[in-house]
Amino acid sequence: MSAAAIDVRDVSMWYGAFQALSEVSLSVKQGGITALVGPSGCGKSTLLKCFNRMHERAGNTRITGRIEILGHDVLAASVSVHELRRHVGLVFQRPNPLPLSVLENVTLSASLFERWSKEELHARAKDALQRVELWDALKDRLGTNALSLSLEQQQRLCIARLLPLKPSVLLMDEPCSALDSRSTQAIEELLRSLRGEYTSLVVTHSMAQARRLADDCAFMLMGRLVEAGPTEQLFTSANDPRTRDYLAGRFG
Amino acid sequence: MFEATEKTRGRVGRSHVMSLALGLLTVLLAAPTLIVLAVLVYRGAPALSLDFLLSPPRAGMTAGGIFPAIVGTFYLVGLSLLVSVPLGVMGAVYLTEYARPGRLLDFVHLAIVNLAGVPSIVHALFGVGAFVVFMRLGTSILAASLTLAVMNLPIVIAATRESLLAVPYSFRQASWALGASRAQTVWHIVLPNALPGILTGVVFAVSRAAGETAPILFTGVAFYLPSLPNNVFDQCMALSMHLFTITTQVVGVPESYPAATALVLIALVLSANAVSVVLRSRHRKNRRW
Ligand SMILES: Nc1ncnc2c1ncn2[C@@H]1O[C@H](COP(=O)(O)OP(=O)(O)OP(=O)(O)O)[C@@H](O)[C@H]1O
Ligand SMILES: [Mg+2]
Repeated sequence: MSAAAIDVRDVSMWYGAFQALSEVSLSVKQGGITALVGPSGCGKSTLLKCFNRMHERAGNTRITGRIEILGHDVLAASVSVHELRRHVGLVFQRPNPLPLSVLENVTLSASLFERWSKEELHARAKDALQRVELWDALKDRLGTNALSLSLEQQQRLCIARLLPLKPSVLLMDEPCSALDSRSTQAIEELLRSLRGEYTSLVVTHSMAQARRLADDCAFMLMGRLVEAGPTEQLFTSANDPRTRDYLAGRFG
Repeated sequence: MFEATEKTRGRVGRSHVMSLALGLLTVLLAAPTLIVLAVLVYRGAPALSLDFLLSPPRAGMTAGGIFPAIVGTFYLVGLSLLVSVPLGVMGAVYLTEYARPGRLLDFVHLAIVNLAGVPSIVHALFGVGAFVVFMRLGTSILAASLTLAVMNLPIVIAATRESLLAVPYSFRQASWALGASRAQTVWHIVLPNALPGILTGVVFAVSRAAGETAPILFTGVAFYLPSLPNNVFDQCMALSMHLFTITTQVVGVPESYPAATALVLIALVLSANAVSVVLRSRHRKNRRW
């Protein structure tokens, strides 16, 4: 049993006067894939954003409780959000590559933090692109604008651009919701291949995807974490009746 | 079942009439510009020569050329852009990327928009008070350029702000999520994508700086100077001012001179425009949003 990669203890979070998270506690196993499910507006994206402190950009927010990633307190005042974000990567719902070339997209993150030689950057980009199986398709088109790629390729690129920073955690907010079923399968395959190396936390609206993909599963409802556990156990014998109903597709 | 009915035929007919009318209107709108240009070329052509461009006015401005005025306009436009573009762009970046949204920001924004509409003669009076008198710059190229810069600042800010806001928020989010700071995001992502819009603002600023007479009249431009300026504390001549002078203040100027001077002024502004068009189209080629 490996240690927890993310440890959330009694986290509550407010947008202004609106409480979006209420006393959420959750422990995410290292190296596995954990699915986060729940109806729209229950606070899944909000919880993810707290992990790399993107929620602070929303302006008037307040957060209490404790979030530890790999044993380090994320919410501490001394934490640099820039350093935090290089270790905790985020993939958005809609693929959002930057309007730069494919190569620049992959090398941008690394070059934000350190000066690299051209060869070193190129090598890292190649590693990352090979990792997400884009290299063979794009190795002759590294200079093309990333926005001209197919959506699936764009989403692969969005995962690839995190890798040169060697992150420990990958947060994915509905990474397949803009993709068709074939591309969804391909991205799932990719996530599976990253298992072990990276800790992935995947928000999804698809129960089937959660079941196919995730080692563990967590169910949220109206800002609260209702139940979390190994996927099979949650799907077959959840303790809470609300979890059973939701996972069986009876509401949400 | 897919054949046109009486009704759809009427609709198609009406839409043809409409597009014809709009097409005619477009031609009519372009006509004044073309006519003005044609008249200027027709009347100014006899005076246009290399000598006209490269020699100073002679014989009480009734002969010679317009060289000092061209040089002066370059000084004024260049120096004023050197101030208004960096300041304006930085101001707009602060307003859109850093400042907290709220009443104060709305108020500042409103003030800037209104400032852009202030008549240039008012800027002239401000320039006299602030630069010529208070800062003791005297009537000089520097004072005149600063006055032009102040006049153009709200335009540059407004144009930059518009184009910054047009850059999708998701680009910023993506960049922040990679660990980029606000400054890195602005520098690597937002500004490059806002460049075309900023350029449009700059070209407009060029036209205004080159064309306005009022702001430079009291602050640093002379009717006639026998020699070129040595430094920014000298006065200079300017095309817009010179045009005004030889049209209304001097008797015995050849008929072709004002038209030729106006042509040169227009050519300068149009070439600034052309440069920006080229830059923009080159930029658009690798843009996909
Ligand atoms: N920037 C914000 N300001 C104020 N309220 C917000 C903000 N972002 C989200 N909320 C609110 O917080 C609650 C949780 O939103 P969140 O986006 O985390 O839900 P979600 O579970 O990700 O939903 P979905 O499945 O639709 O993506 C919602 O009620 C939402 O309206
Ligand atoms: Mg969401």
